[in-house]
Amino acid sequence: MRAQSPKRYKRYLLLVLVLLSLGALVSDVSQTLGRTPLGSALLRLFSPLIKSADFLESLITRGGAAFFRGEALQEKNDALREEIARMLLERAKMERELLDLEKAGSLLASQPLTADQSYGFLRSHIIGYSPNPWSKTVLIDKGWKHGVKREQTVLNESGIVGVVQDVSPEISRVHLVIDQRSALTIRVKETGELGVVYGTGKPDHLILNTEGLSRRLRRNDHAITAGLQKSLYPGNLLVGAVENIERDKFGRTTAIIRPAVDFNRLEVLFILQGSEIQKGKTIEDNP
Amino acid sequence: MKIILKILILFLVAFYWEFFFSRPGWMGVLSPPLPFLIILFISLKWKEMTGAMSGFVLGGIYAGLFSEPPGLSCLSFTLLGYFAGKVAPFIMDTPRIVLFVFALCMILLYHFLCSILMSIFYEPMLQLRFLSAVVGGAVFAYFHPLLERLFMKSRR
Repeated sequence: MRAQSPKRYKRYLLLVLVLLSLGALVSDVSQTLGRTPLGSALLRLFSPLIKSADFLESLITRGGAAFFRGEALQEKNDALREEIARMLLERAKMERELLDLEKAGSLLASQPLTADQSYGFLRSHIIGYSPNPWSKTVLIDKGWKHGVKREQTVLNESGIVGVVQDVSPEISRVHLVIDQRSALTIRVKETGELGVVYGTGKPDHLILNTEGLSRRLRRNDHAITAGLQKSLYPGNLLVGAVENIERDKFGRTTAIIRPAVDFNRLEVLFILQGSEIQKGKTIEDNP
Repeated sequence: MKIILKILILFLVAFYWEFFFSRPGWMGVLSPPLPFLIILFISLKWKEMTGAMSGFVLGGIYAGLFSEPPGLSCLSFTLLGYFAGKVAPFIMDTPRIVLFVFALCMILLYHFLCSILMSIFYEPMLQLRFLSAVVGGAVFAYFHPLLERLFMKSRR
């Protein structure tokens, strides 16, 4: 009988570990932008390791002398990308203004506008990727020392990329819109319908569920961020285009969206500084 | 104390590997989950409870570092660490080919378990990275005897 008690103790311990893990998993499901336990602290702890791995990787892939020679060219390229992204944002702002003029007096126009705010642009490079397919995040080389804050919107020259999730002094983590836990409210540009786009974990695939009945949605319609109050994203930024549409017998529409951003070739990202303020939330954790 | 220090160094090397090789494209597809292989080694060497507990702790760190759903890695690493410890008597002191097949199957099982959990709690998905499992199996089969020797010395 005595020999059995350590065995029983082991079983109890295993049961506790399994229950703790399951509890953590279930508690995470309810959060849209879940705060990973100790996420920022771990980022801070591992940042030298992450940065050195990135430096070594870029040194090897670009090769010795070419690494140093290529810096100037890379800088030029990044500046061009930034210019395109700025133009993208400017266009979104102008389109929003046009829409507001058209719908002046309506309920939509009385909503707080988001796109007419001018944002700071912070250029950053990707220094790490999540290794597994069940999490779509990237690490960037800018942290709170550079002015990055949690919930700031991230985009590149093609459209919306994601949102800042965890911040440490030197590096930050960006939660991509293609992550399975990601959801954003969009407006179909051509029809004005609202919907929610969910990530699927695949880089070329988002799912759109429209609110209520939708018969007007067509292929190649554009999905843009709705920019509603307290949304994580400013309005009128391109998310992607409708690729395929399915309607059930109740008239509910589910569409597949092809993202505007090529998530397999992400290089330079731009953080919209100030975009966290218009979301109407207090960012208590940011220093 | 020396053993713990060695394990910590191994984990640091494993995480460095993950940061270095986790890129989109072929590099990412071929890269084996090194932290998981270290849990397998710990489970084989120090049996099921050590394997399960180290799996739980490393799963937590893994989730925090790579922003995975918190319990996902914890649960799969704990269960597979426990299972590997249970079958350890049949795996230890076997030819390298057995170690290779064992690690390959465990990596595939890890992918399968994570896919099942993601399908239950999020969107349906099945992601089995066979190439990564093959490379992982080869890495484990090659390095296992070397690690055995490394930890053998500290016993004396």
